[in-house]
Amino acid sequence: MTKQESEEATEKATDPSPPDETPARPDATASEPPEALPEEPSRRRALTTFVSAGSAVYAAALLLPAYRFIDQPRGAIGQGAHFFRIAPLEALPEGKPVAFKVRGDQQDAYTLTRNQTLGAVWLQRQGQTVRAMTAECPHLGCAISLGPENTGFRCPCHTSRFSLDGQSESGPSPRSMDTLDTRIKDGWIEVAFSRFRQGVVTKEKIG
Amino acid sequence: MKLFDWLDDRTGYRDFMHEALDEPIPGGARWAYVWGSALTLTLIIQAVTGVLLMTAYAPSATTAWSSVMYIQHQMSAGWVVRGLHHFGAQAMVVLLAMHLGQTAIYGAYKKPREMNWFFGLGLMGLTLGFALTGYLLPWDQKGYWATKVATNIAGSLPLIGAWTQELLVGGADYGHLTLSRFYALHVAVLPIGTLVLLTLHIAMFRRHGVTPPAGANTKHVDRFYPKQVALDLAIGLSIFIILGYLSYRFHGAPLDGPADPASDYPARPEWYFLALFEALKFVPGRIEWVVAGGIPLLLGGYLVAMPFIDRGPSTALRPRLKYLAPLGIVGLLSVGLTYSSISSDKKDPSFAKAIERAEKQAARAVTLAKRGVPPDGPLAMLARDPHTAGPALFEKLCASCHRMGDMGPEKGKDTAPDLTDFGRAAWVIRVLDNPDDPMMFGRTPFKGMMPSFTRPPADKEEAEYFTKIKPADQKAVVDFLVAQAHGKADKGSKGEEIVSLRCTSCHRVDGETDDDESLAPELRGWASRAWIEAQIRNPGSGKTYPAEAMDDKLEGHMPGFADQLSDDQIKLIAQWMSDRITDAPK
Ligand code: HEM
Ligand code: FES
Repeated sequence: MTKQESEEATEKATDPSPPDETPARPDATASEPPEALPEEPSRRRALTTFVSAGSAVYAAALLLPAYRFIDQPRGAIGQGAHFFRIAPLEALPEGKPVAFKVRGDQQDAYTLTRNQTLGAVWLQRQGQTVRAMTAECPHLGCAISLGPENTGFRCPCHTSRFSLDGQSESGPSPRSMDTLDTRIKDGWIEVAFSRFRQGVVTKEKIG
Repeated sequence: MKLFDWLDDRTGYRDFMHEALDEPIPGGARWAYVWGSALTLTLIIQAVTGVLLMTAYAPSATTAWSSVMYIQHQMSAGWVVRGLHHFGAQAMVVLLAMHLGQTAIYGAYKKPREMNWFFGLGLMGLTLGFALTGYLLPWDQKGYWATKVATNIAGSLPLIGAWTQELLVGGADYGHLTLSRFYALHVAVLPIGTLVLLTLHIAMFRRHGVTPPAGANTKHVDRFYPKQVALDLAIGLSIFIILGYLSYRFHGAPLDGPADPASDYPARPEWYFLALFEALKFVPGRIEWVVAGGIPLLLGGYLVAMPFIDRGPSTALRPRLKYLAPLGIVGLLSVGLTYSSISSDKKDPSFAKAIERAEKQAARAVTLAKRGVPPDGPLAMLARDPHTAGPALFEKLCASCHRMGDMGPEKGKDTAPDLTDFGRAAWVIRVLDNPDDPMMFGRTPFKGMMPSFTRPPADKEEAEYFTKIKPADQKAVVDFLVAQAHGKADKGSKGEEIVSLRCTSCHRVDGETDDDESLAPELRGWASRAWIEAQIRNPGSGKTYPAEAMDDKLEGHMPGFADQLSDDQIKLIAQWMSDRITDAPK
């Protein structure tokens, strides 16, 4: 019930004349045309208030849980700093970036699938440390590839270019490539893989 | 307001609103008229929660149960939405009965409102269709088996049976297509049909207005708004509060374990179909359809015919009682049959046991599913779970001889050791005290082979040499054996020393024994997972008992199960028994 409608109705109440047309009734009541008795105004006001408030409560009681249900908290892949084992350190040549798949268990709502490809990362070895950057373009999420002669990274979708250390050089990408934490464990490179919001200037983790 | 004036000029909505709200009610607004509106308001709840459920529900045999589990247990407000939909469905059925009862008693089916009455009956059919199709959607044991019974009855109809069943089921057997078909009916066909019929139903109602009770002062006229609207809303809100309370009280709606075509489940329909279900018990299976199809058809036919049978213009109740009587009788009969069905189940201990087992399985399935359901679905998940498959296999193969907990033959009818405490201190203490106890080896071919360590033997001469085991030694032996059951070698312990000294005159420890001909089993690793596994596979492999323990002359010894069980299944039983012994977290 909108405010307008209830005003309309109140207006009507102050006008005790019967409505302009009463549908013809072929039934028993038809012979005695009904007569609308005006209700007491205070009683009528109480009823209209109840109807307005009641329908608002009814709608709210339905829509609030509906909103809660639709706006689910986002589930995170790997839940925070979860490190994924990628490759042995020896397998990585010094300096030159190499792309690797990130494999792990994928929890998709209710289904848990073991050992799936979750994404890809670019790894670059510098002595005993490794720099990792996600292959997902910060612009709109295409897969970043290595340019010719290892001069830098480029994105095939809207031609964003990044330097070898991931700095944004040209194109629409709002920020540099997203770096990921790494560690070496038992001779293996492990990367804290996660996703970041695309199309914005600041790096913002989304899962 | 200019905007609304503009809108009114272009649409004429104010006239429409007036017409809708100022509908006169001859005889005045009444509580009796609330049921139609209450049905509409509840249908809105069903539609909103239904569409919300659609955003998360995934209709396929491998995902339906998991997605409903996810809605029920893991999504925020999921249980609220599902609870409202579940209890809303039951409210629809109750309200339907109220609405039908009220209009029948008031004589509202009479000329000129016949079409209104027919549309209403159509809506009733559609609502029952909603209830029937919705029940299957969670693809849980309850919905699966109840619906299977329903479609099998449809299949037994003469002439059209096989065709109807195949159309509904989408093939010969229940599967993906069954679910997709029921889903399409539930979320597209029935809602559209309902919308069409409801529009026509309300249009007819607008045309003819309410039927006031006979003798009402029709000079007194209320407008639909606000008094009748207020009454309608009061009922609608009360129903909402009840639905909210029920959802809160039961934390959503019940969800049984995932549908398992290979299980034996005591199928029961939802309470509003129980009367029909109970009536089926009185007829032989071959002509079930006469009852299951005939009663609803007869009742529906009578309802359709009512305006033509009861033709007089009077709506007074007295002279019409004879026309209402069949409805009253069917109503009372339904209540009686429903009551009889519930009470016969209540009295049946095997039903209670089956339900208890189903509830346990459901809880286990949910516990596992919360960790993530594998892509091959919840049944595969349960089949790989030692705590589900283990006891099920035990019940099937081991429980003909062994007791364990409440499984197995009646006490005294078991012919092998009672495994309830197997691997635990109580078991070891009992076997040291009285190996021939009926709970131990008293009813096996091994009776009399092992002496007691606490009571002197019956033979006087032998009794002279008997020394009772010292409590400290007994405790050390118990500790050693319990350690074995926990998979620990416990080397160098006092218990090991005593066992190696006193028990190896017959038993084996690391394969060593003083008596190669003895049939006593290996004690290293006794009751550990590996030991149990070896024992199930082949009790005479030497890893548990020596080959001679399998001799045919020893009638009633335990058989090996390598032929009857796969390696995985043997491992599942052993894992489950071992976890039971060590109280491992499930
Ligand atoms: C009008 C739109 C409707 C839509 C879109 C809809 C949708 C759904 C969906 C997606 C489910 C599966 C989720 C679950 O089982 O929890 C479901 C279940 C169900 N629906 Fe509906 N539904 C509608 C109306 C109705 C009506 C009018 C009734 C009752 C008369 C009804 C009765 C049921 C029942 C009994 C279940 C099983 C619920 C349970 O497991 O507790 N539905 N519905
Ligand atoms: S997605 Fe990479 S440049 Fe647009």
